[in-house]
Amino acid sequence: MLLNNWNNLTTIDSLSNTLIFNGGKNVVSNIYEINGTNQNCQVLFNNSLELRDKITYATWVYARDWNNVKGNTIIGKNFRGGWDLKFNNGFFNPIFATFDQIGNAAFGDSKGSIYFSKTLPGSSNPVAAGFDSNLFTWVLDNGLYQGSKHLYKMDYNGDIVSYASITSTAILKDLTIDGNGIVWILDTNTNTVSGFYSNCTCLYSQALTSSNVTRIDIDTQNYLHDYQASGLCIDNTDNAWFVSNDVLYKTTQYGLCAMHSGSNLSEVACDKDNNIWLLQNANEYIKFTNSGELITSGSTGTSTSSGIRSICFTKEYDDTTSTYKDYVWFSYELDQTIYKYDTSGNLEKRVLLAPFSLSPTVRTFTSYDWNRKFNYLSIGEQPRIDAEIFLGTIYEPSSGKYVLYFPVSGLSNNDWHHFAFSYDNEIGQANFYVDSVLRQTTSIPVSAKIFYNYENSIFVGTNAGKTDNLDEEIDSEVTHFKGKIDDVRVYDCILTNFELWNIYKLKFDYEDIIWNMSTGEQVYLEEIERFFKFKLPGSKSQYFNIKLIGLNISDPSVRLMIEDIIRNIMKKLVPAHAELLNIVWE
Amino acid sequence: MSTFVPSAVKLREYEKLFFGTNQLYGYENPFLEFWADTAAITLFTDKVTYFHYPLTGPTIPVSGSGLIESGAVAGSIPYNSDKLWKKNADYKRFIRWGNSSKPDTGVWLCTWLSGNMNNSNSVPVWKDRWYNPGYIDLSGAFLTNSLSSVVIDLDSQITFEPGVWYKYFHVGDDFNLACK
Repeated sequence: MLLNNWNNLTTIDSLSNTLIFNGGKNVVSNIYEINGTNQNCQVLFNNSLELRDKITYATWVYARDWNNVKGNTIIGKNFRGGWDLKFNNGFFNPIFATFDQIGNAAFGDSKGSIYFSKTLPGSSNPVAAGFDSNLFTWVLDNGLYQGSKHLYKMDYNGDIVSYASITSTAILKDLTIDGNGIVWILDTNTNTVSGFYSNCTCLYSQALTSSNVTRIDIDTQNYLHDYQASGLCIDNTDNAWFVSNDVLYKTTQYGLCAMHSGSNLSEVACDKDNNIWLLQNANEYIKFTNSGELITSGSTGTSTSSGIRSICFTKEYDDTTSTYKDYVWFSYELDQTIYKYDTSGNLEKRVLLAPFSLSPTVRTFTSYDWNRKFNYLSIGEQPRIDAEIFLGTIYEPSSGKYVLYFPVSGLSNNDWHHFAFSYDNEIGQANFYVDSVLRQTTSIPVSAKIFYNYENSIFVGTNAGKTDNLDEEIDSEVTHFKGKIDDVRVYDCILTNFELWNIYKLKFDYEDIIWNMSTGEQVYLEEIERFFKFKLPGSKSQYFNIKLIGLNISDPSVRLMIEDIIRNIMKKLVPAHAELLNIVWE
Repeated sequence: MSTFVPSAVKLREYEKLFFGTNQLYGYENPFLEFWADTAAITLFTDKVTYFHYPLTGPTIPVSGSGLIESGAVAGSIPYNSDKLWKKNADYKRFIRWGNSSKPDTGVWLCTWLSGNMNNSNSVPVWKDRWYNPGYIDLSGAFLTNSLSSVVIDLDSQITFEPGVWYKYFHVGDDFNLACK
């Protein structure tokens, strides 16, 4: 791995003791090989690394299977701002958070380990929760605190970082987050929805035309759907599925279709494959195709009494198969448990919430649904390499995020590839290069600056957190990259395609050319000062043969006589370290 | 056919041994005979190598010389690629003045190995660069890309011809780093 001074343009100086290798091994040619669990490289924060106007970074990355890269960020100073080069498979959900009706909260990692618990303030009564792309958890609290109801924005460590106060007369019911990060809440008292920016200021409120709305959800085009329903989800083709009076309906272009009826139907959810999951009775689930054909059904949990249940999904890296696997999670209020199953129905994990006095009732506890609609579908369900940059003022990301990308289908497996990104706010342009070829370019506002939210390190091989790498902060290992990285470079200037081409070529060792120049057919005589004094080309042993060609002697006795003469001559000529083995007649 | 290629041939076959005739003990230093039709020369990285093409060699175009297969480095412009110069002295077989089909106002810069930066799998091509000295100087002609109107890149017509003196520059790490 190279993070060093190169023609006085590199901003990272490996000699200044700011570069820390947290594990990994330098194998051949200083290649940094990391295990995907706890190894990464860290460049400690200093002011010179906060490049805002111009930046070029480049790195070589090796992956065994580009469709199943373990980890997320390859290099970045990126948490809630900054820039990064990352692997995007459409799902990034390292945490879950669950709440009960009295405000107890538990935060866990994707493996199901609870790393933090908390209680919301006041006479809390959370009714809905959601996750945005920056790992903030939004909770809609219908309970009163200091005379108001609240929409809380919580960090992954449980801290309430911001909130919006809502009139005490509101009857808060549901929450959903759109692709732009706007949080929409439902007030059934006034039958209105209100949108909130990420800083908790209100965008606007709007009265709903439908009456008695109890559930809202957002589709992939950011249109809000509202229904009087006990369960609601929007599938991959933006059809709404909802449960009303123990009947599962699907909205299609032809109208409303009843897809299933049963007893005690509650939640409905859509997975990335556009299958529909339905909860019914006390502990049963049913999985349909999108056209309503039954795929599988089963039961989970131990309780036979009806309590509040919910269903979520995750997509996680499986070390045993080195691929990503889908999981389905069920939360049971009465069991005080979250169950995690693989898609074959095998129980993977039982998350016990009783130690936290928590009986989960809020239905959304992973960010899967947001990622499905606004990331997985938007990338065409195909993994890709993203080069992201967050622009804004020094104080806020006003210009938003710009993403340039390259699909992994264009990358050969078990192979090195070179990625480079440049951003120039003077001309208003960002470029993304793969293997030194310009793959995508985009215009950006002139004079816009890169926005950094935290004074954090640059990390290679894992995601940056607020002060440490993200996995350390959420007690997880989901963001660690598994593979090899080489020749990482960060510049405070713009490198041209030609310069990146030169860097690209550095990976390949330049060797002298041994050129076989044509001479025409020539006879050469090689004088042997001493037999076998010099090594001849090729593998040599101490033995040698002599071929006798074209003598036309077939009589064995004559041949034997000639061979004796030759052997006697050779005894006088051949040095001690060589010996005649055979005389071959041809 | 035996070849004198130390890097590629592991075993050389000798055709004859000369120990001396009608002598009981022969030469003190015997001779071995072999045949070859090539001679290996080393073109070092980051260096300019001068060499004479053998008098007994056949005339071959640079595109068929095997230099690409041997590791010549292609680039987007002459400056960052392997380059070849040929001494066009006034001995009769190698003079290039006359009924030239090349640009009348042009000056030959060099022969360079042109690679496609947009397709790393493409096979590079040897090009002859001609430039108009009225509009661009020598160093500028090395750096200008093929789209410029003051240079023209043609598929190389340069040949390796017996007895002619050549100069070859092979790109290496040092040069590549110094390109910035």
